[in-house]
Formats: sequence, C-alpha cells, structure tokens
Amino acid sequence: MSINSIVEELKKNISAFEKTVEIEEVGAVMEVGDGIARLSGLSKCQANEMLEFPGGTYGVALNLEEETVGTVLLGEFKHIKEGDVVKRTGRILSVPVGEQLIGRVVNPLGQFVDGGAEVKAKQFYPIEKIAPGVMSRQPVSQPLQTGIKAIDALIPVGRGQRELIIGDRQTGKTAIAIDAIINQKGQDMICVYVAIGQKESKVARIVAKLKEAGAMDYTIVVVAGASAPASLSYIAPYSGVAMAEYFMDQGKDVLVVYDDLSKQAWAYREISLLLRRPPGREAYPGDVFYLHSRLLERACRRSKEAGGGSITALPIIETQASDVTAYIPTNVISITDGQIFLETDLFYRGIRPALNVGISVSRVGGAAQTKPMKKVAGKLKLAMAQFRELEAFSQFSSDLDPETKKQIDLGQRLVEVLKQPQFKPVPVANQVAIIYAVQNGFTSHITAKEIPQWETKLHDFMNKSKTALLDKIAQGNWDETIEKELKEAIAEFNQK
Amino acid sequence: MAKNTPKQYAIALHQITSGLSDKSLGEALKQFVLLLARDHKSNQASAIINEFIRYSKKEEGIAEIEITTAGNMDEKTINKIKQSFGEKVEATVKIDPSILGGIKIKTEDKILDASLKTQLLKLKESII
Repeated sequence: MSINSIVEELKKNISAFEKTVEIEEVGAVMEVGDGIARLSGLSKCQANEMLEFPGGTYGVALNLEEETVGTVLLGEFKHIKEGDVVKRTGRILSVPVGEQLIGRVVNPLGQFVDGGAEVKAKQFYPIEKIAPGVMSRQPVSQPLQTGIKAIDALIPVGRGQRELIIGDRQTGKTAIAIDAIINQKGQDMICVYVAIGQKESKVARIVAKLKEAGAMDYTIVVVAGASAPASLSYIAPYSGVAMAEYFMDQGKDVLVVYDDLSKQAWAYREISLLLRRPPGREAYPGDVFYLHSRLLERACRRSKEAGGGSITALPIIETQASDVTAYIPTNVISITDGQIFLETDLFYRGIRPALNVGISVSRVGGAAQTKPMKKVAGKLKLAMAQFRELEAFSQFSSDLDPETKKQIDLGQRLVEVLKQPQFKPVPVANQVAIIYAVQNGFTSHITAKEIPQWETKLHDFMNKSKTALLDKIAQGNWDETIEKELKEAIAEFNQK
Repeated sequence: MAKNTPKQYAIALHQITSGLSDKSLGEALKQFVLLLARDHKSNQASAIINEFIRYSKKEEGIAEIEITTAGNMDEKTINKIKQSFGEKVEATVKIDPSILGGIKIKTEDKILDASLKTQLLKLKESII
C-alpha cells in the first residue's frame, strides 16, 4: 500500500467517525467491603448487569432494591471507596466464547491466566441462560465412554446426561473426572473443566497431567482459585457452561466437569449473607436449589431439528464424613440423572476407583450402552449383587457349599477386574474382552490377585493381534460369531 | 412494623415544614428531633439531613449540575449551559486539564460526556 492510499484510508476512517455526546448513567458507592458494594442511584439498572467501578473493576448487580443496588465485585476492591462513581455498562454479565479458548486456562470472566498470548474474542455469550425446553431435546442414546471399567459397565453415562460424582475428600473424585476427560481423545468431544475454590497448585498439576496426556488439545480449563473472591467462584460454573454452549451450538458434544459444586454453594452462601438475604437451612439462602438446578438443566442432548449437539455434566460434590443427607448433596442428587458414590473405606482397602457399585446408579445411561457392553454388564451386575450378599460369609469359606464358593470366587475376581490405576483409561472393546474373559472362567488357572497382571498382558495381546475383532466390538456389533471369535482369542492367549 | 428509612424521615420533615412561619418552624423541628430520639434514629441525623436537602431541592425543581472543563470558561457559556437544564440550576464548575478540551456535565444520575479525551478514545476504538 502506498503512503497516499494509507493517508486516504485514514482520512476516510476519521471522517466517518461521528462526534456524539456520551451519556452515561451513574450511581455512587454507599458502602463497600467483603467483596460486595451497596450503591445509590442507578435507578434503571438491570438484574445481573455489569457495572464499571473506578480502576477497571467490574461488579454484578444482584439485589435491586427500592433505593439501593447490591452488587458483588468481580476482582480487586481495595481501591474502591465511598462516594466513587459507578457506571452502567448496559451489558448482562457475559463471557467470551469460541475456538480460541481450547487448550487454554481462563478465569471465570474468560481472561487468560496461563501466561499465553491474548486472543481477542469474536463472540460473547451471557453466562445466565434459560436451559433448552422440552421440544428441543431428545433422549440420551449415545454413550460417553469414561474409560473406567466400573463406570462404563455398571453406571454408564450417556451424552447429555448429568451424573453426579459424590464422596468424601481424598476418595478420587477428581481422578474419575480427569480420566473421563483424557479418554475423550479422538472422540470428537470438547471438554470444559471448571475448578471452583481449589488450590492453584492442584489446578496446575491437573493442567500438566492433561497436557501430558494430550487432552489439552480439546479442553478448556476455567479456574476460580481458592484465593479468588467468592463472586468468581459463584459465577465459574455458569461461565463454563456458557463456553460449552457455544460448541453445542456448533453441533458438537461437550463434557463439562464442575469440581466442585459444594464450594460454589459456599461462595453463594457467603455472598447472600453479605447481601443480607435471609438465611435458611445450614445458612444457605432460599434459592440455593435453583442455583444448581438452573445450572444442571443446561446439560442436555438437543434434537437434530434444534441444531443437535449435547452437553454432558459431571458435577462433583464433596460430602463431610459420608453424610449424603446434608442439604447440598440431597439437592444435587435429586437434580442429577444418577450418582457415582465414592467411599473412604473402599479406597483404603485398595479398591480404586473406590466406587460403591451397590448404591451408585445411572438413571438414563443404560439406554446409551453399546450392545456388547450391555451383554456383559447385565451378568456383571447380577454377579456383583450376589457377591455383596455373600461377602460376609467369605471368611468361613471352608464351610460353604461349592455353589456359594464359586459365586464368591467370581465376585472376588470381578472386584479385581474393576480396579484400575489412575490415568489409564481402557477402550470399551478391551473392557468387554476382559469382563467377558473373567465371567466365563478363562482365569481359573490363576488366583484373583494375579488378575491385574494377566489383564495387562491380555490387552497387549488383543491390541497387537486381534484389532479387527476389537474394532467390531467397539462399533457395537455383537452376535454369536463375534462371541465365538472372542472366546477363541482369549483361549489362544491362555495357550501362550 | 418495618423500619423507616432516612428518606422516609426526610420526606416527612419536608411535608411538615413546608410553608411554615419561622416561629412554628422552631416548634416543628423540636418535635421532629424528639421523634428521632424516640425512634432511636438520632445517630442517622446526618443521613436524614442529606436526604432532606436532596428531596427538597427536587421538590422545588432545583437541579444540581457539575460542569467540568479543561480550562477557564466565561460566565456567558456557563449561563447558557445552566439554562438548558431548566429554570433553577445550581452549578459548580470544576477545572480538570486531563479531559483536554470540551465539557463534561454531571447531573444527579447521569454524566453527559462531550470531552475531547473521550472523543479521541472513541476515535481510537473505531479505527483499531
């Protein structure tokens, strides 16, 4: 471009600029502290509107009262003082969305916090949105493979489902969610991991693990750290799901993990008490159920006519001393389509993932299971249930009749099969193979303790020389010939 | 009974005092102070006074504006600005060189910004 044309272009731009008088509606700070501010004026302020405080801090209007507006501040507030001018922005709280977020770590306002390059967003989505209605939904019918044998076989999760992960601290709740994210590699899924009120060091470790596993290529991490204000913890899940909705609108399947919603409820309780909303049970405000229900309703599987795509939600709830009857756990249990219970004593007995298959359920996932998995899982469920009944007797095994003994032995083997180390997701076809092998007595020549070793070798053998068979199973085919092929393959492996 | 806000006291004060002669005004004020004492509201007296000033000005149609300019402005212009905001206008003039030029007028709940600084910022936004 020549100098003249540059000058011309510039002139054109400047002459196109219209001088207008900026009219701004303003209010004043009446009181500020603990991350909230009460403002006077701003009579036309909308609910959930962003307000601009001096120094570039933003706030959200939560309480609209006769004379005042109660706001939470999103960020630093030490410099704000009484009498400061607050401007309306006219924008409902929204976050940047788009492809540029993939592989990045952002805060709940969509600002990058991983030190990488700034990318300007083309589109913004409001963080609060009404969930899709009845007509734009369709039933869950496609599986979401977590790569965890116990879950894929016994508590299957479908795309568009909301499956709660619940348990005490240190029972491996996050581990299950991370494994599920890692296993989405090559499944054409986008994952959003929302870390709420967690130690920044833990988040850094998770991001490093995801990078190592190559999972950051399709994952967005939203972080509201433990040192962030309560307001950010409160909005974090909504920003996460807003980012997910963008990809659902592109017809993609998205997995969102909220880790964890109890901390979000604490943050909301803190804000509500500071805003002087009346406290209810456990000092939570009256609308704490709505807090979670409106969030989890946004997980859905949309019908083709409505644009397709799905959002699967894996909310996490931390219980105190296994008390699932506390307020928040009961609320979220009733909202979700099933729950995965993790227990401390199972964890210490070495059963990891420490999930209690007796009380964990998936209310809709069964419809999404592939045919081969359904075939083996049906028997597995029965055998596990019988084993739990008989487990207490297993100590007196010498006095038992052979039939009972057989059932206990099978149960012990199945428990071994369902154990799985972290960061080692197993493809669904291999899961079918190993569960089938144990159910049909192909491991009778070894003890239960030797099964994990035997399993690794079986997977290696199958992956090397039986790929065609595994592909058929992975595609959901199951008939007598495939079953026969599988039987022969396992027998062939045992010969070696 | 719900607690009365300072604004409600201010409105009440305005209603009882409007149109009173000097003598009865003294009596009315005395009664009002007693009312505050009885309601344990004397610690909020300054808030009530502020509300009273704001409310009475609004009732009498007095508008308060704050004009910010970059340099000194002559009386004529100021009067012209005042006129455009109504009959009774109380204006304070502030000088702030950082706005570079033009004027900025603040009313009770609005800012009319015609400063050079904001215009330049907007020009920058429209080009980049």
